[in-house]
Amino acid sequence: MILIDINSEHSFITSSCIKILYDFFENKNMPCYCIKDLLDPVIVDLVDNNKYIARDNFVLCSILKTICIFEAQRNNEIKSNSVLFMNDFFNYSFEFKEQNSINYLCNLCKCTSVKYLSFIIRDQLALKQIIPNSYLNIHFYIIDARKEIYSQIVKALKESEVY
Amino acid sequence: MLIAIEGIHGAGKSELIKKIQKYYNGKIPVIITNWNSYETIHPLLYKYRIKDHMNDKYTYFLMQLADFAFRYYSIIESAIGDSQVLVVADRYVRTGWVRGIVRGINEEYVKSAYSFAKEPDVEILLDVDINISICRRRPTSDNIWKIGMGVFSSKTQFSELEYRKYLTISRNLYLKYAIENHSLIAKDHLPLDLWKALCQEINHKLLF
Repeated sequence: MILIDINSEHSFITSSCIKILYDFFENKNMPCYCIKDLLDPVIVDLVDNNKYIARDNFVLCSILKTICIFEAQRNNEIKSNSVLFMNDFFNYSFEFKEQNSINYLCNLCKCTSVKYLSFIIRDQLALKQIIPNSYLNIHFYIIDARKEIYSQIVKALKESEVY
Repeated sequence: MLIAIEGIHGAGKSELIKKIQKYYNGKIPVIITNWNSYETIHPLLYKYRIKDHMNDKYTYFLMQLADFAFRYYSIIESAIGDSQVLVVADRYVRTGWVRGIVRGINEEYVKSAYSFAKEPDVEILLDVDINISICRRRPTSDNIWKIGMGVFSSKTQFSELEYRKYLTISRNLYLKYAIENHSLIAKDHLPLDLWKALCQEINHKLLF
């Protein structure tokens, strides 16, 4: 199973990246889901009505997301070769200076046998320099939004050896 | 400040908490937080119990982790290092570790999952012989053997043997971590000198 986090500065770029990736994986018979669709209604209620689940509480979000992925696997709602999409987890964690949350989510996902890929799409490549060393065990792919995106994504996926 | 009280079932944690509450009553606000007590998450726990998912080690572990994380951010985090309030945790991180590891989850994984929680200001392990633990629990619970049910086998029946095995491994793990973390350790009961040492440590941190 692959969990892909798309982080761009504009929602239309995020949408187009997700479309590229959906097409890419579905052509390889790998079913795609948005992680939001897997959230248990009880968890959605828990998130919506709980002041401690602000979007910036990455620990709680990571735990609840992991529970949902795990339950979806158990219930055979998703197959082991599925691709799950989420967006802006890296962006938010960077904004709130909670970079370790990426490591946390990644470690927590281990019980679900998830491979975590994070695409960071920027107009300028300066971001590459600010990804700390602690991220090196995570698959980050920096995409230059000024260039043609499709070929960069395909190149990154080939490098990642996820399919 | 945060005091974490750890130990297996029947170790005397509730008694110690009552004692602390009584001793500090009127001196400082005392808040008790119990393991598996975050009410908002109960509908989810109930749902997974009905579906018989709680026997799965990862579902069990993640649900306990979720309960802990909610209580940590809502009650515990702000109290750590604060000398104006006393939060007493009836079980804390070590219990999360023990319950995951005893179910066969990788130790490194378990520790990483709880890594967001800061160390308590004071930690005490109430270590108790397993026979004493069972004697203390038996009058208050008809089905105490259920506690370790399914941990070492997939069968739905529960037995005294399985419960004893569960307790023994849990106790050894608690002891290992208490020694590694230089926690206060009370054997079988809380002797007066240890109670005094505990109060002294709490008072020192509360600047009394």
